[in-house]
This record gives sequence, structure tokens and C-alpha cells, in this order.
Amino acid sequence: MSISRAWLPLALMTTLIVALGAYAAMRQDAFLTTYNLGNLLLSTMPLALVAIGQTNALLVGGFDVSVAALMTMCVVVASFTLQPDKSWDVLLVGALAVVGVGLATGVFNATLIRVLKLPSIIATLGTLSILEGAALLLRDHPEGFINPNAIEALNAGVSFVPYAFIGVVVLAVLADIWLYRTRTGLALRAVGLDDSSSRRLGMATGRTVFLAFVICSLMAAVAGFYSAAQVQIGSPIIGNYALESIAAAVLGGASLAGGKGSFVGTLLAALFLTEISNVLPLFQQPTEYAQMTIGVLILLALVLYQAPELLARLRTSWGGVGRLRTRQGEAAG
Amino acid sequence: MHVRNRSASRRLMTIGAVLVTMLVVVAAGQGAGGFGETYKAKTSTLKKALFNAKLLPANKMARNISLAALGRSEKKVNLNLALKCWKNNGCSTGTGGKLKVAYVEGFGENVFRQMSKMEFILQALTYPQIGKIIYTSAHSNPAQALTDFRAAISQHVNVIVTYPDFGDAMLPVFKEATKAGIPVATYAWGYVTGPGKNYLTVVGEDTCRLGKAYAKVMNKYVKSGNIAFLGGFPGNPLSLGWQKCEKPALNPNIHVVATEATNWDPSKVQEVVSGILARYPDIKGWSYEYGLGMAQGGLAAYKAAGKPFNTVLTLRTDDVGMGCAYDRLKNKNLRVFYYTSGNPQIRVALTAGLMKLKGAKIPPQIVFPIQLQDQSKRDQCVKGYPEQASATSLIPLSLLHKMYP
Amino acid sequence: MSIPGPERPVVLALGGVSKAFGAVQALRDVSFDCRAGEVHALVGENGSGKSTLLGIASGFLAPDGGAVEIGGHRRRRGSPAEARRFGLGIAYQAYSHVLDLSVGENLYLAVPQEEQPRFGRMEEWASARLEEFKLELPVSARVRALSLVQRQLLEVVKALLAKPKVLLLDEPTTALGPKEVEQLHELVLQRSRAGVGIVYVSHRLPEVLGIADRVTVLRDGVGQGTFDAAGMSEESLVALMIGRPLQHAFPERNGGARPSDVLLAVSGLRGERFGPIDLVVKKGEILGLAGAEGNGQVQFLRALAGVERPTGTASCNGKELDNKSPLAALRAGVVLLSGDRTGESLFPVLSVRANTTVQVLRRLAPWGFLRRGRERRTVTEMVRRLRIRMASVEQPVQSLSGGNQQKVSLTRPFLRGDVRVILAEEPTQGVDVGARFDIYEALRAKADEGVAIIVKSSDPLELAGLCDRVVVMSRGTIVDEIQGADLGERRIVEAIVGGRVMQGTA
Repeated sequence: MSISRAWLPLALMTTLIVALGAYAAMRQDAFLTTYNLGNLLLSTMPLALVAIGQTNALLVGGFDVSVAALMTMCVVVASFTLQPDKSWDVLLVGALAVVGVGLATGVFNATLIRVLKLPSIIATLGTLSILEGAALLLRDHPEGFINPNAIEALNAGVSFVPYAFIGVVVLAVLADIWLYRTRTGLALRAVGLDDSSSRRLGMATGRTVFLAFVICSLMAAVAGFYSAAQVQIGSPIIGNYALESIAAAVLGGASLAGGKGSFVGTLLAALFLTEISNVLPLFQQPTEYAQMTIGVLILLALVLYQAPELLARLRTSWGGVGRLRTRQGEAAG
Repeated sequence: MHVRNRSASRRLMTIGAVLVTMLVVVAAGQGAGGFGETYKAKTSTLKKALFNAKLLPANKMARNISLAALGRSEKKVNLNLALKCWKNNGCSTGTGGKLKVAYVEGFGENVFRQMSKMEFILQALTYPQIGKIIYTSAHSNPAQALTDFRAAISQHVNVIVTYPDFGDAMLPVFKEATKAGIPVATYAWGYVTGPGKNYLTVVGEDTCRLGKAYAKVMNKYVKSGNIAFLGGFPGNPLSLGWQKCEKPALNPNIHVVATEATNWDPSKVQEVVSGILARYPDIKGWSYEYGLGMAQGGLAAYKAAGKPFNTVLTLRTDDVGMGCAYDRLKNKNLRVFYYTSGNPQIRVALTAGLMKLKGAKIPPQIVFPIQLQDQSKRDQCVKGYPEQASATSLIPLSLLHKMYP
Repeated sequence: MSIPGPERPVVLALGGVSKAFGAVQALRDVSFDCRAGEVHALVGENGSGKSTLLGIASGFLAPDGGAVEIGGHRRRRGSPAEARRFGLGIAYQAYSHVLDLSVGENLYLAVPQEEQPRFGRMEEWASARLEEFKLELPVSARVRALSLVQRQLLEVVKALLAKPKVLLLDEPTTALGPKEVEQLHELVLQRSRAGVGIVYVSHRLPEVLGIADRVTVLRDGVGQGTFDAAGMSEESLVALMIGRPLQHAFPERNGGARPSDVLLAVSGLRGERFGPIDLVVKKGEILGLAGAEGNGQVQFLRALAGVERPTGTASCNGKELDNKSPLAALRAGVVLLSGDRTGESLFPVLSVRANTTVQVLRRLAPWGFLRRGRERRTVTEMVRRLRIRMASVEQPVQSLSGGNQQKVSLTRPFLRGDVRVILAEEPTQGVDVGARFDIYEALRAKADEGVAIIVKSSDPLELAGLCDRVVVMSRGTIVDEIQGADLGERRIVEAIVGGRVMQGTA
């Protein structure tokens, strides 16, 4: 049972991607052009990367709402450090600076959460405001072009498939193997599922949560590169990636309570969400529908993924007085 | 940054103007054969849209395009179809025309944008060659704005008109469209770097000159003391444009004590104005764009602070409601100066794009001169207009009432 | 069981340990040691500081003062990982299971990294470990799906996996029936013979005296001395624990019920894991429900309370009982006191006051607004009547000791005037001796008001002392009924064992 349930989000997302794609291809010739598909995959990159990072935070039972602001900050920083007409060694240092911003933010968030014991949503909300303000200070409007060679390198690919997309697929598959087939992956899930039991078992729960938030921020910084490749300029406004990344992780099977999730699922969900925003303008459907569709899908997915628990809850607590509990006293002998 | 090379570009423009005058004859000939453009508009039309029939672009070709566009507004179109198209965010015109035109914007959820959308639709309906009208708004989401723009490109639309809410962040898609042979025109000084090169043209007033005109009013009526700047979304090019030029043009006794973003949202205006009033009770003037927002939010903030609305306002839009609020107040100490919402500029942008398809040479900037209106001399409270509408719009009044019942 | 000589090395030593939680001094200058090969019991009422002492020993809590030495290593940085490295194993009372992971994964996480097998071989390895400890559990099942008995045994196995030098067992038998207790004690003694020092914490004094070599008593966070178990009796230990000899272990029975006043009548009731059951309970009667763990007692009680859905009929006061939902059962006057107090019947983070009055808010808040004065009077009255011990009525219930938590959940039937039947599931589980008596007395007082009470308990002594009549369940049906002069601990245990025999031949 648990095996099939783990695959459910992956199967559902794949089905939805194919179904929506098939519908769009039948109705609109523009969908299946290499121009459109290439753009679809490229514009999936920022969301896919940041959502994979977000999945780490969700796995340890937290949220990171500062990711979008961090991505913006990275784009803004890149507009200073990855300027046009710079040689590759200068660009490398510049890229490291962007990654450094991600690392510093991650350590900052993780310190607030682990050392000062702030709830992650509050801690990262604070970081979000700081980063947003700082980004606007550095660039109050879009300016500062980003090195076109760097952008070309980020967007390069074979036919319409960017190398980066292939890379992120490999990354997600490896990350899932790590999560479900290794000791440290198991430890991460254990900490997310039950922090106090994990601590009793002698696991370094603090370090695990710390690392999860640092990785989340690092992934957001990498996502920032792909946002930069999209807008190609130091723009102080990037987009609503905080909620979208949580949405993608949840659609991909992550539990808001921690301990459950799939990186491949998250990647597929990111692709699906981007596909929705790609397809809707082709049909002149206003994006309001996209927002509503995404909301409905998240609720449906949550119900579907947790159907057995919800059923059990309904059955045991008719009238809403009881609580979900385990059957006591199975035959012991 | 778009103001940096202004003198240089002006010099270029004078040279261009000479060339353009020579080309006009050719262009006009082509126009007649193409979409039947005539560089003529009734004086009444011009007066309605521009206050004054003389406030046309100085550049000859730009002036001709403007005349052609505004002249077209006089044509009869199916208003029911226009309303349907407006409500449904696009439509097929039913003419069987081969052309597809798109209005793509980053944000469309206020009256100004909604009216621009209608002007775009009305203008498109004057061309039987246009078979399909496409509209998208990205709801302030930059990633969606890029996607929407690319969706228009991948559908091979023939002209894209846009308000680039994210400024130069839209450059990549502007270039992609230009590379694909699609003319892109922006309106209301939706400025993106490199008009004429990265994209076809920008239509609107020079926001730097708007700022200087604001400064002139402040210098004359405030003389000395504190004033504040309000703007739209943080970092939007329109607000930044006039703010950068107003400040140095103010006389040294006038101090700009606050510059705040309001997202062009009346309730945010109230919040921001209240905050500034609390810190600087002696504030004497406000420069801003959104007239009705100031009439609603600003007035409410003054009321809440228990202060009379004695102040000098320089505003860009000519919302009817602002004028009516002024009339109701009957306050001699309130001075209101406004420019125009400029919704008809989007018609010029569309016509410029279509003329480009027929090979016309389009100047990189179509710039309307600025003349601020004094509310006490020219009342913008036009009887019979919905309060949120702008009276300089070329949308027929009957249609406006259907849009805002 | 041999008394270890002084030559045996000390494997765990706590010297002058103190710990305060806010204003409450949980431990004051306590010293404790455990030698290799001995079973050293730690007893004391709930709230006396036993769990705090274990928490400090295991590195889960940091002491305010004092020193901890494990296996000869002076502890520097208190952490469970360090304690484990030094050779300390602990079975927590609240368990250390990650419920949504499998049995195998939980075992895997319980051993130090260097002893973990390759991840791919985990299930195979886990099966071997379980076999080693004679525990039959499905390796791939989630721990959430296990019974409490299974979870408790698994907890002990986890503590033993890392081959500790000293093993801490915190109330290891709370969920266990007599047979599992025996099985566990067997395992413990076997380890102690192998030279492991064992710290055994329990409130079940007969068990303690049966297994321990030495006993240390804590009262209110202060050590009362360490004694050879052989020289101690239950009475002397209780006297040390509560500071006074226990006079009346159970309240007196007031002649019981009149045979005519049947209040609860059950016929042919069937449900998951039980049935068919026919049973009557009279007004003013306390009926005991005995049996080995997992023979349907819990499910039967829950079905009566509407938490689980049965078939068949049950009637209360002549009216058919609508047991489709807990709410309907409550309206009919049937109240369940759940064994999982913090999970089911209390709001752990809310105050004593809120937990007491939440069930009768309508009475206290006649127009939708809570009358604070009336609420305070009600709570104070309850606190006095049930002798709830706490610092303040605003204290969160989760910070109370188990016995006092149980008392707070008992306020429910006391406050509601319309209660006819009380279903009490392990009312004294994890409750200290002093508080137990208060609970018994409260239940008896309620019975004397004419309420019918069913008490499900795994403690035969408790059933014999408290109840008017005891029925014994096996395999989901009633196999024996004991009352009058027959009613005694021995007879109940025999019936349970007899039930097992029947089970085997059925």
C-alpha cells in the first residue's frame, strides 16, 4: 500500500502533464512548436529548482517563504557581478558571489530557525522583507544587463531541450534515490516525521534541519540564475515563487507536516504548473483561471494523497469529537 | 536611463524628421493602398483627446501616425461586439480578416488599463483586415508576463501592443518578437530600452518633461516648504521618470520629504498619505499620477487627520471623479493640476504597428507634448461620465456606461 | 538475581544532579549509581522526578548542576548521541518511534552508524534482530499500525540493539499484560546476567520488588535513599514514596446495586475484534472488564461510546443507545474516559481551567459569554473534590503528572449532570499511588449517585479492589464473570489464564 501511495503523485502529475499537453496540441498549433516547448522547459527551470529546494524545507517540517525574495536578490546581484563584456574568470567569481548570497541567506534562515527556535514561516517571512528591501535598494527598477554569454550558456541545449533541464531531471532522480535508499535520507525523513523521537534516537536533528534550510536557499540561488536568464536584467521584481514552490512540492507529494515528499514529484509538478501558465494564454483564458485551477488541484491532490487517512478519520470521528488514532490492542500473542 | 541621451536623440530626430517628411508622401501612398490611412482627424476629436488640437507630436511622421490613429476613432464600429470582446478578454471580429493583434500587459486590474483595453479593441475593430483580437494580463507576475508575451509570438500574431510593467525585464521577449518580425509598440510611455532597435516604438508623453511641468507648478504655487512624491508600483518606469526630473527642477526652498509607492490603489494611497501627514503635518503639495486615487485616498487621509484639504496636487490622469470631488469641496486653497490619462495613445500604438506591416517607416518615439490643465479653469468633472472614467478617452459615452454601469 | 559485589564497575553515575523547570525544582541534588549486572529500580510517584532523572542520564535534558558519568566516561556535552556512544541504552516511556516509518527503519535508526548494515540489507538485518529478541513483528509495517504492546516491546528491543552497558527502562510495562511482563522480565534478567546494568523505573511495585536488586526512592525531586530490594516490602516503599503509610487502598463498597435497576443492557453487540456480547450493568454498579491485552476490551468500550461502529443493540435506561457517534452517545449520557488521555480526551496545551470547563461551556456561558466568576468557582470546586495537584489552574494540562491529567479528564462526568454511564479505560495507567486512590474514590462516589461504571483495566488487583463485579474477556467475548466473595486478584488472573486456555483449544 505504501509503495503505491508513494508513486501516486508522480503518476498523477505525469498524467496531467500529458493530458494538458495533448489537449493543447490538438487545439492550438502553436503549442507543439519547438519555440514554445523550448520556452516551456526553460521557464520551468526557476520553479523546478526552487521547488526542489523548498521540498527540503518541507521534508523537515518547515516552510521557506523567503525563496522568491532570495531569487530576486540573486538576479539583482547577478546584474552587478555578471555584467556584459566580462571574461569568463570574472564571471565565475561573479557566479560564486550569487551562490554566496544564497549560502549566507540559508545560514541566516537556519540560524533563526534552529538556534533562536523561531517558527520557520515567521523567520523566513522576516528574511523575505529584508531581501525584498535590499533588492529594491540595489535596483529600484529593472536595469543592469546580465552577461549574454552567461545567459546563452545557461539556456544552451540540444534541440529544444535545455541541458539544464536534463540536469535537473537527473538531480531530482538522484535526490529521490538518496531520500528513499540511503541512511542519511532516512534520517532526514525521520527528523521531519518526528523531531522529538529522532532526538531520542540520538540523531543530529539540529544539523539536519539546519542543512535542509541551507540547501533550500542554495537551490533558490541556483533558481535565481535561471530567473536571471529569463529577464536578463537586474529586475527587483521576479515573481510569486514562494507560494508556487510550496504548491509544486505539495502537488509532488510533500506533506506539510514534514517527512514526506518526492523530488521527482516536485519536478513534475513544477513542469505541470508552468505548463498551465504556458497553455492558458494560447487559449486567451485569463490567468485567473490558472490561479483557480492550481488552488483546486492542490486541494484535490491533498485529498487524494491522504485519502486513506481522511477516510479513517471520518470513520472514527463521526461527529467530530474523536481524533484520528491507531487501533489499540492488536492480538499480541 | 532613457533620458540620458535626450539632446543627442533630439538632434537625431531633427535629421530624422527631414528624412521622414520626404518619406511621408511614399508612406501616405502606401497607406492609402494598405489600410486606407489618412492623416486627418476632426478638431473635435483632437480637442477631446489632447485638450488642444495643437498638442500633437512634433515629429512629422509621428504626427501623421497620431492623426491617422485618432482619425480612425471616428469610424463606426460594432459597440456590442466591442463590449463582448472587452469582457471576454479578446475575440474573433467576424470579418474573416487574416491579421491577429495582441494587447499583452503585465498588470491589467485597474480602470486605466481596462479603458486602454477597450480603446485597443475599438481601434482594432476599425480594421476589417483584423480577424482576431488577443488580450492577456499577467497579474503583476513577471514570469507570467514573459510567458504571455511568448504565447503571442508562438501564435504568430501580427502586432503586439503592450504596457511593459516590468520595464527592461521584458527586453528578451521584445527582441524575440522583433526577430520574428512582429512589431511591438508600447504606450503611455511604457519605456523599454532601445525603441526603434529592440522594438518598434514607444508612444506617450516624455515623463521627464512631465516631471518638469510638475516642478513648474510647485515652484509657482508652493514656492517654499515640503512636498511629497507618490508613485505606482515600486520601480515602475513612469513614476521614476517624472520623479527623477521633477526634483532637480524644483526651486531650492521646496523639499521633497517623502517618495512612496502606492500601487495605484486608493486604499494604499490613504495609508501612505496618512503616514506622511503624521510625520510632516505642514506638507504643501503632492506629485502623483492617479487623480481619482488621490481624490479618494488622499481626501480620506486629510479628513482622518482632521485637516482641510489645502494642498497643491500635480497629477497625470484626468479622471472625472477627481474633478467632481474638487467641485464638491469648493475649496479655493486646493489647487489641482492634471495632464491626461492618455488612453487613446494605445490607438496610436496599434496603428503604428499596423502601418509598419505595410512598410511605413515608424519613428522610434511618438511623443506627445505636455500641457498641464488647471482644474479651476478647465473642470474635468464632465457631466454624465462615470466617475472612474477619463474624459479624454475616445470610448463612446454609451459604451462607457455599459462598462461601468 | 544476584546482589552484585562492590567490585562490579559502576556503569552509570549521577552525582549531585539538580534540575529546575521554571519555578518548579524537579530534582534537587540527587545522586544515583548503577553497577554492571544489577537491576536498580527507581521508584517514586509521578512528578517525583524519575523521568527528569532519566532524561538527564540519557542526555535528552541538560542538568543545572551535578555530574553524569556513563561507562567511566565523564559526560561533557549532553546529547543523546553522546550518551549512546558511551554505552547507554534507553527505552522511553513515551517511546522513541517514528510512527510513520516501518519497524525495520525504526530499528535501523536505533543503532549507531557504524553498526548499521548497508541500507539495502536493512529489512533482512531487522528481521534477524527481531528474531534475536523473539519479537514477532512484520518488518515492513509502519509502527503506527502496531498495538501499544508491540510498540512497547519494540522500544525495549531498540534500546538493547546497540548492546548498551547500561540500560534505562522507563515504565516499560505500562501497556503490557501479565504474559508480556513476564517475557520482558526474562529478557531484562538475561541482560543483567550478561553484565548490563539496568535502571528500572516503574510504578508497579510488585514488579519492582520481583526484579530489582536495589531500589532508590524519589519524592518531590529529592532522593529518599537506596535500599536492597530484598529487605523492602510494598508497604515500606509506598511509605517512602508518599511519606505516609497507605491505609485504604480502595474505597468501600456500599452494598452495591439493587438487582432490578438495570441501566445499561447490551445484547448481541458485535464489532471489529469483539462480539457477540450480552451484558447488563446496574445502577450504582462498577463493573470490571478484565482480560489479556488485545482481546477486544478496548474495542467493546469504544463501540459503546460511539467511537467505533458496532452491530447489535445496546440500550441505556430502557432506550436504545444511538452509538453512531461520540456526540450521540454523550447525549444519551454515556461518557468515555479514554486511555489515551492527552490524545483523545484532553487538550494538552490548554489550561486546567479550560480543560475542566470546555465540556460544560454552555452552562457557564448562558448568553454565549463566559461568566468568569462562575467558571472559576466550578473549577476550584472540581480541583478540591478530585484533589488535582498543580501550581495554578492556568497551567497547561500537558505539564501535569499523569495522575493529575487523569483527574482533569475525570471532571467531565462530574460536571455534567446527565451522565448515566461512565466507560473508564485504564483509569490509573501511569498514575501514582496517591492519585490512584483519589480516582477510585471519585469513581465510587459517582457510582453511589446511581451511575453505572465499566472499568477496563490490565491490573487485576485494581479490578478486584474497586469493582463490584468483573467480567473477563477473551477473543472478543465474555468468558467468565466473578463477583461477591470470589472477587480477588488471584481469581481474576486465573480466569485470564483460563481464557487463554480456552482460546488455545477453540
